[in-house]
Amino acid sequence: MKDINRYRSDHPDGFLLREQREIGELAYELGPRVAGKLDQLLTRELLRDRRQSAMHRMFGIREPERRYRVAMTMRGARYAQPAARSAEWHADRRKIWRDLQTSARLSVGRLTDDMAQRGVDVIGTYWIAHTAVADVTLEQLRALAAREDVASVVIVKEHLMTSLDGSRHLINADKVQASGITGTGVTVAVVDTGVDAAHVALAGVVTSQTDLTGSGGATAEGIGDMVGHGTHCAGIVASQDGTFRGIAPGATITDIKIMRNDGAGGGTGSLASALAGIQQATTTAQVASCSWGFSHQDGKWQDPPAAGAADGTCAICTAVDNAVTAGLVVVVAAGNNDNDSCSTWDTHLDCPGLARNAITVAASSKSDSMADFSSVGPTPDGRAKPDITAPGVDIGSCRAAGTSMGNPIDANFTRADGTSMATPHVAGVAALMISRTAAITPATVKTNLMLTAVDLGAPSIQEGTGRVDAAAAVSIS
Amino acid sequence: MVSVAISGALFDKADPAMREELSRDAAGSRELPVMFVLACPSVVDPATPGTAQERAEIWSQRFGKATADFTAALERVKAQRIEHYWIASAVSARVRREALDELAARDDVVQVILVVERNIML
Repeated sequence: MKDINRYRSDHPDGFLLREQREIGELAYELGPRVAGKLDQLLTRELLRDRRQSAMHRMFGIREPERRYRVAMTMRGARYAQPAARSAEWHADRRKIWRDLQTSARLSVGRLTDDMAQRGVDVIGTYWIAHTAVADVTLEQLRALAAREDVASVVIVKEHLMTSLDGSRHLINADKVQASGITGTGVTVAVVDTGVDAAHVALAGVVTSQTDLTGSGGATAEGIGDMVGHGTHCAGIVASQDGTFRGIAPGATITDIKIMRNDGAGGGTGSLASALAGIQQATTTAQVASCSWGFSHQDGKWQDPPAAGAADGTCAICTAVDNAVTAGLVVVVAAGNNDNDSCSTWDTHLDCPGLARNAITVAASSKSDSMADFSSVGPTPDGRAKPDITAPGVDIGSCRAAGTSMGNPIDANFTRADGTSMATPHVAGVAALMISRTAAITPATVKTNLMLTAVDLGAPSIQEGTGRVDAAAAVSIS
Repeated sequence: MVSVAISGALFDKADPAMREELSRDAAGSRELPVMFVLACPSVVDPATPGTAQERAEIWSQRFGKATADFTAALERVKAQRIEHYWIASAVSARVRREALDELAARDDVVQVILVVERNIML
């Protein structure tokens, strides 16, 4: 269990400086030519091991030599000429294959020869990208990556296809459900693009539907989900399907529609519809799942000019903080504006992700690495955000009729990525916590979620306190 | 491009999208969807007794009273589709451009935001 007070007092600026210093030290140790070829995930892995080794040295612990499975891609791997669709197309393709195979034999062959001399285990070679995959020690990595003909080195990790079935298991919601706590008696407001209440996996789950897309003088779209986003999120919370079962299948959903189809499959909403949605959720639900946000990055949304930088006091963040004061647990997506962890450190969090009392959710994969799109904190005024992480990569859940959002699995289910998908995971866990202890306050829900989260080893400004653990959070609630 | 005079208060309180809109609005006679953020104290009080719906009704009434003067001002300038948001001390309405300066000059108006539909789905 984490010391949450220590987390809170760990000022993000201090963290950033330490992180940047460590990255600089690592680059110095590896040599700039090598460091520039490594991908972000490999750099993170090396940083983590570097810290661990320092700790082990301090306590005199001997550690086995670590091996990294990496893919090394050679320079000149890209085929120079795009293939023309000529009458000799098939012959052209065969020529391209031959050219690639021949050049790969030469370039990758030189690398694998070097690997063999160094005693490296080669796992495989791939002519299509002039790449060799091998298990290497840090020393071997340094020597091989320094070769002139090696263009890039990427860590090889298993990125499993995360179905909701998989993510439910990963966050230990299965265990909670097996204990008989399923979210019964709790209403979750899905404040989104609407919900397909007729979906086979949501039968009897959606108890009310409101269309607020006409707020502020706009034209209302009507009940239903013309995008598919809200239905997918609702499924993550409370789907009844055997495989794609929700996190809190005993909970009921109130569908509060604030976004409509923009004609291109996206969801458009306004400040008016968002305020109306939060207001409505405050009086109809115990938990609100908000997988949307106003960006501070593109100039489309800014805090009051008098207030200067975004500091969580804009109208939408005020509404969320008030809703929490009124007793609603508000779970919001951090945003999909990249984690940008090795460069500018600009905040990419969306509003209301900056709201002090919101539970701001980042996204991770099923292999418990941070999703590269997940927005990084801290807030512009220096507060620690996001608060927590949940699975948000390749999540299989309900597909609304007539929509094609994400990567459809079949007529009823589709896979999608985003902090949007991570958010209803946490909303579902909050429903489980309230189902166990009806009198729990929103502040305690947030604290318990953060206290029991599993540290993924990423910076706290990416993962908050870590990936949500439903069983641990419910057990202390 | 014709430059349009924007009063100091309106300029100060307008969000960037509203400023941009006003700079385009040369004729100054169109109706705009506007969110007014007001300087009234929050009516959301967790100690309010009753069910969630009953409490919301009380908060809505309190907010209505606290903003009665502003609502009357909106009605005077024939604003349309007035909606109250007690959750954020805000009122939205469709307001004619020429009435905006007077409304923005009020002490109880903190911010004047153009209500624009945007892609907010994550």
